[in-house]
Amino acid sequence: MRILLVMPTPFEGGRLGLENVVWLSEPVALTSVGGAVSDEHEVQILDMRLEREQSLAETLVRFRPDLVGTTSMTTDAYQAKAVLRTAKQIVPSALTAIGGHHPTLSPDEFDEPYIDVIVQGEGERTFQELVERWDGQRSIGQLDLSGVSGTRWRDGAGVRHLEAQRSQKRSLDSLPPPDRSLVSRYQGRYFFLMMRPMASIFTSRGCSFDCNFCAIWEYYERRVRYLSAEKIVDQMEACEEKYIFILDDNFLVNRKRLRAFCDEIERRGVKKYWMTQGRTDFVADNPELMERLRDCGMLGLLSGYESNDDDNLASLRKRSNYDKNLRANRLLEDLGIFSTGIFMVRPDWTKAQFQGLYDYINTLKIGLPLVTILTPLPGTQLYRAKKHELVTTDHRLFDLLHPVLPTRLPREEFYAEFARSVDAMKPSIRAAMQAFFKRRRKILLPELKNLAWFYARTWRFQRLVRDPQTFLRDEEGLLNGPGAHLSWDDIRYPDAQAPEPMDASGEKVDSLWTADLPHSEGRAAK
Amino acid sequence: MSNARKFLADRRTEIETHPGVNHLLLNRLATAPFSREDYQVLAENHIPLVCMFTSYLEVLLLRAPDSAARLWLAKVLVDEYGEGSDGHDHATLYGDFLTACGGDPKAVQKGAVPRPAFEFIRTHRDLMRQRPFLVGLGAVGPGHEWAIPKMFEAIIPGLRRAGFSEGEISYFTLHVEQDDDHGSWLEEALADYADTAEAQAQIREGAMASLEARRRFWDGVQRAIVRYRQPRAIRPDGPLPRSVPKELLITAWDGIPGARRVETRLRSLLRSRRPDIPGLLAHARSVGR
Ligand code: B12
Ligand code: SF4
Repeated sequence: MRILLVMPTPFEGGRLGLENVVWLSEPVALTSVGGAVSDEHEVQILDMRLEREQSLAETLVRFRPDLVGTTSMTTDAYQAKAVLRTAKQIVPSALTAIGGHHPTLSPDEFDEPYIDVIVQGEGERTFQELVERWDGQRSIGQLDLSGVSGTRWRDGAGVRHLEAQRSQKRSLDSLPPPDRSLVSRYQGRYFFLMMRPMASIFTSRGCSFDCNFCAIWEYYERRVRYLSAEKIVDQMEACEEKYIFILDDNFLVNRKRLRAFCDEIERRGVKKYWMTQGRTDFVADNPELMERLRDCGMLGLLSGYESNDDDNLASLRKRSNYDKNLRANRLLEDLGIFSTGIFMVRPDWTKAQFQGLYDYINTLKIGLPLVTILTPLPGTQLYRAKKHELVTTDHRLFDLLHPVLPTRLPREEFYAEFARSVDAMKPSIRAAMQAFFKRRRKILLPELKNLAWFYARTWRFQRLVRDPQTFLRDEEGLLNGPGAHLSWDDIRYPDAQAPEPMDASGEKVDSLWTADLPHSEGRAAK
Repeated sequence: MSNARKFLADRRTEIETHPGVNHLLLNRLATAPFSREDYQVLAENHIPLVCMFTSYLEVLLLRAPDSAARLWLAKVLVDEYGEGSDGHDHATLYGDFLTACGGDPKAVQKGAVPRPAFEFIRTHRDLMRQRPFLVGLGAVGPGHEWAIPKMFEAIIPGLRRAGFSEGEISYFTLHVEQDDDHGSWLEEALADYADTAEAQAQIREGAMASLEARRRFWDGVQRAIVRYRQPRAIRPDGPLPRSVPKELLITAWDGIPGARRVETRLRSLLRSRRPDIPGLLAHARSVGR
């Protein structure tokens, strides 16, 4: 059987997004499900972020797949749908399937005649079973996935069947590993900042925290599962690339595991540079372990600093604080680990609050501060509390760069403040770069070419995002425009299956977004 | 099934599943909310095609070898001139749609034809004049009549989602109905011709050339919509890998204000060399006679 897996573009082709300059990751969801099917099937991955627009149609015509699958986060939902609609039009006999975060958390939205199967949750086993079933059924063209848990499938009469939820308890070691050879033709094209070529792997799934703007912990049913140290290092060794991004949402947990990971790297003498995501409180509380991780190849860390205001951090249920953020960043600087920090401005901010955040970032000296806008993504507690206030349901605007909730400042002014971040944070970037270069000269000198490449792209990107008009044009006609003609249910949480909102601290969900929170200006560190 | 009927049935499937007819842009229009502003860009690019369509038929009518072909061409022309749409010709109907999007049909008539449309029209003009009659018929017949209902079925749900009234989008809804009729008449007319290998090859050549031009046209419209949203985004986002020196050169060029002015001038110079719609129409009709 021929299987085509398509990574959609987040927006219409040619439109600029973060993946053009900051981080273009391998489509690990697709290499994972592609790697799970038996060798007797022919699998191809098409990464539309790196292809010309017409490649999709050309591949469909040439390859004539029996099954077309795609993946989707919230922002990609329309593009993913367009991919499957195109597939159904060009190869009507092909089965179409979609999986990923958005279809899992908002499946009803994908109940379309051109989507045969919606896969919810972890995909490896589900896809394996689905492929085997369809292989037996495609000659008669009648789909029946009864008993394949984790699917919502459409029968020949157009009736959607809901199968039981797939349990996500299996050890990650027992899952088939991603098949990276499926993206070998794009090798060298994936990057994080100036680090390229870059491979991507994951070593854990889930997170033990419960931030209210993040659906990871609900997606993975509040469970965290790990890959063993041996398996992780097997994967690292198999990567030809010099740089590896470990995609875990929160790599820095479980000290015992991290020590075993370091032991394994040292024992096998693996020399790779890697970056990952992790919390600042862990960094601040574990300086020795961080030093050891650095010695085992850790080059960069992406962390959600989120805010300069403890009240705000508490309202997001981040369970970290201002002082830990500060200590963590000092430590990273000392260790020569490049810090990328995500910050969130709130739609209800005043100008003074923006300024407070920029001052704070400059005091922290973050290498790459990414300022985003607090966005209620479907599946989060914040979404459930705030969905009736959305000013748009256009999924493309849920990219954390457009406020989808009402702003306190007029939108033009809000964007002017937001766009100002490019220049306002330059002192932070300059200071952090200098410190990083000083400590990591040996690594960086051979990378000057990549640095120039990154600088050139970033320069052009910055010119675009420095202009508030860029954001205003993006949303022109889409606020209370077509968006208003869609029902609010257009992005909806499947109530019947919604996990109970976690309330570990005893707070009510409704008070999560504290509109009456004191509008303090935050603190800029001394 | 006769040889000709089988050939036509295969062509219909080939056309309905062709990438030009199922372009990603069309599927995006079906699945994502686009605003009236986006549709205005689409309409400004599309209207020249609508205005030119009758001129292809007129040229073919003069070249038609027999009355069966003339009859089909005449029937379609009558519809295009406004029979079945209360006397409003299709270009006028499309103008109403453009007005509903916030555009100005009069200004569009006076301005240079956008490049994607110009290239599409040029391809068709050549097919009508320079290739055998059946190639031309393949392009405006199957290449249009069997393709348009399928393409418009993707566009119409998006137009409704964007809040256009049924009256404002009647150009599109009418074509889904009328072109189904035209498609069936055409099948009858073609059944008489498509019985030799040579005739079949010519009909297919025309249809495929038209659809390929259509694919390039939609590519151009997609780019125009993106450019309207992010006027300078296309360049940073090259899908093909660029060397480091090339990245640096592009950035340096972008950074020189004078260079940007030169670029804008060059673009407007190129635009000014393209004709407007009446100019294209006059040219097409004069050659037809
Ligand atoms: C790498 C990454 C990116 C990369 C590349 C994205 C990509 N998809 O490759 C980049 C940097 C571009 C990116 C950007 C963004 N990202 Co991101 N990203 C990630 C990250 C860290 C890893 C993705 C990944 O490869 N995971 C590993 C694979 C194996 O897991 P998976 O995708 O869940 O796939 C499994 C199942 O979902 C399922 N499955 C998935 N697809 C399919 C398809 C089929 C056919 C089947 C059968 C099964 C299946 O099977 C897979 C194997 O079990 C995730 C976090 C995460 N845990 O996934 C966030 C995540 C996907 N990103 C998120 C967000 C919010 C964003 C941004 C909007 C905001 C931001 N600033 O980060 C932007 C939007 C992009 C844009 N341009 O607008 C959210 C999405 C939430 C949502 N509701 O959609 C996540 C979940 C992070 C979070 N904490 O919430 N991201
Ligand atoms: S934001 Fe980070 S720490 Fe919070 S729940 Fe999500 S992954 Fe965990």
